[in-house]
Amino acid sequence: MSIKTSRLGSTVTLSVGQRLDFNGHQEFRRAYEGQLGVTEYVVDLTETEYIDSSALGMLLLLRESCALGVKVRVVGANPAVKRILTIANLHKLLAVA
Amino acid sequence: MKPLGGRPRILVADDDKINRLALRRALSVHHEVIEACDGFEAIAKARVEAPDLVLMDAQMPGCDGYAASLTIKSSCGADQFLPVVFMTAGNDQERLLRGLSSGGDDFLIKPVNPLLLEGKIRALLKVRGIFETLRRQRDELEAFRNGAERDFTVAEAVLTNVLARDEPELPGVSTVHDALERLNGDLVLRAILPGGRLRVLLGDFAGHGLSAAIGAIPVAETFYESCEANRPLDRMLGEINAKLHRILPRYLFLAACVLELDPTGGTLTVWNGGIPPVVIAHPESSRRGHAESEHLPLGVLRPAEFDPAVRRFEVPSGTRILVASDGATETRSPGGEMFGAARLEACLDGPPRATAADTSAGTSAGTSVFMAELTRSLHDFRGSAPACDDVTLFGLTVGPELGTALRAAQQPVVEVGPSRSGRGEAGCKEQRSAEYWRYSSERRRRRRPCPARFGDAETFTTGC
Repeated sequence: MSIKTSRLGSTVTLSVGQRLDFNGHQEFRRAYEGQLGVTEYVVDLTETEYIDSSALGMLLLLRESCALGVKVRVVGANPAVKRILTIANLHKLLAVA
Repeated sequence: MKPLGGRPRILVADDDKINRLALRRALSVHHEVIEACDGFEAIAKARVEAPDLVLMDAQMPGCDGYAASLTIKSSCGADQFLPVVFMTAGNDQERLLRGLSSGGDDFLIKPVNPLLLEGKIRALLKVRGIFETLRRQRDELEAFRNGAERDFTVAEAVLTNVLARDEPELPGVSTVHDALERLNGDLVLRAILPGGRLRVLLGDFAGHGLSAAIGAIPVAETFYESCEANRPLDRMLGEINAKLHRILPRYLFLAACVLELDPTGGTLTVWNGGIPPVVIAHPESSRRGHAESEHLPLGVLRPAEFDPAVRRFEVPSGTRILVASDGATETRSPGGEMFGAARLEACLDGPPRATAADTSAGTSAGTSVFMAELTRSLHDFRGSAPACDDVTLFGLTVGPELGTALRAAQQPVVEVGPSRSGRGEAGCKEQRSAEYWRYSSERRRRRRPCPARFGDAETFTTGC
């Protein structure tokens, strides 16, 4: 698994690789930790074919680590991944597109 | 025994006193020297003095170097390396061959060249050091594994005690667990409530193994406690959510579905937070109801934001109900295809239902039929592909047998018969006050300002 972090202005994009599961916990965390002055995080799942419940936990953790007013958006989820996000009702907490 | 971190100990076995003295002089700068004047003494000192290397004169009266080497080597464990270097008067083929077959690791020709001696000793001690490191690491690993095994056994026993209650077998109710690891994050809890109602929680903790299983303990305790006190479903859900929110790290939570069946009234109440849709198959038509996941999993939301809203379904006799953890629908075939909801539902129809055997056995036999069909179907679909997740299934068929069994097994705590009303009422009051106390203390805790867990409480509410 690989997560690429890119930054444009105050928006940080985390591009997730093929899988996001419990093995990627540390890497996912490192990808956003230490970023200053961020107003929005975009988690790009375009490449992602599989996520597990640990991945949902990582998204919750990202959201919690954010300062007041910082947005977290999840984009590019394929139908299978989106289904997992929807069953957990994560769209009630994060913007899922 | 050799002092820890001391100088390497060399055992010098030679019958010639002058030779021993010369070797001692050459070696004692960097090594501790032990002397033996023949093979017998060499064997004895190798055992008692625990040397790191043996310099062995080949030709000695009584027990010679070859015989001594054989004995010393054979008493070493397979995981130990005690190097033996033969000192021979000449380098003829026959002597060297004998040395090799007696377990020798190297040779020195007399008179011994001090530089060559030091070089060979250094090389052999290095090899011995590697052996020692390997052995230590293996021992550490084994000790760690044994410790982990003990911890697992204890954890397993505790979990079993917490999760398993003496629940009677119920006709038409069936649970299937297929776990990847000994300890896992899937759980099914069941309790019979007054009035013959059945309450079931099917949960799936985020993650796998021990870290997932550990959360099952507070869930089970709250579940049983709440059921024993006959608290309403929404209260119980609020309690479990609050407890998990308080104790679990933010990335751990419990996807859960809670069902409450009232067979007398023919209703099913469902709260689903993160479990694939509960399938409700009506008896006489192909009509299917689905209790979709409408909530976030338990432990995610703060108590104030938690939504205990439930959905109700009419479940006349013969209705089949199936709950499956996502491990079932996400089971993959060798080709990577997912099992999916459609295949899952198809199993509810299973082999034609209204067979003669089925009818005579009553509606409750239907559960074992469709559960067996589903288990078989999942197994066949997966084929040789590896299992990726724990699979937990809960199936139920509403029927008169189940209703009768539930009424027979219901807990007597709250239902007080008129014949023992005196004692019963007192017991009931006590029950209520204990319950009240628990509830009010829970409420007091909830009112306390939520400390740093949600550093930015506002982000939380705005996102909702």
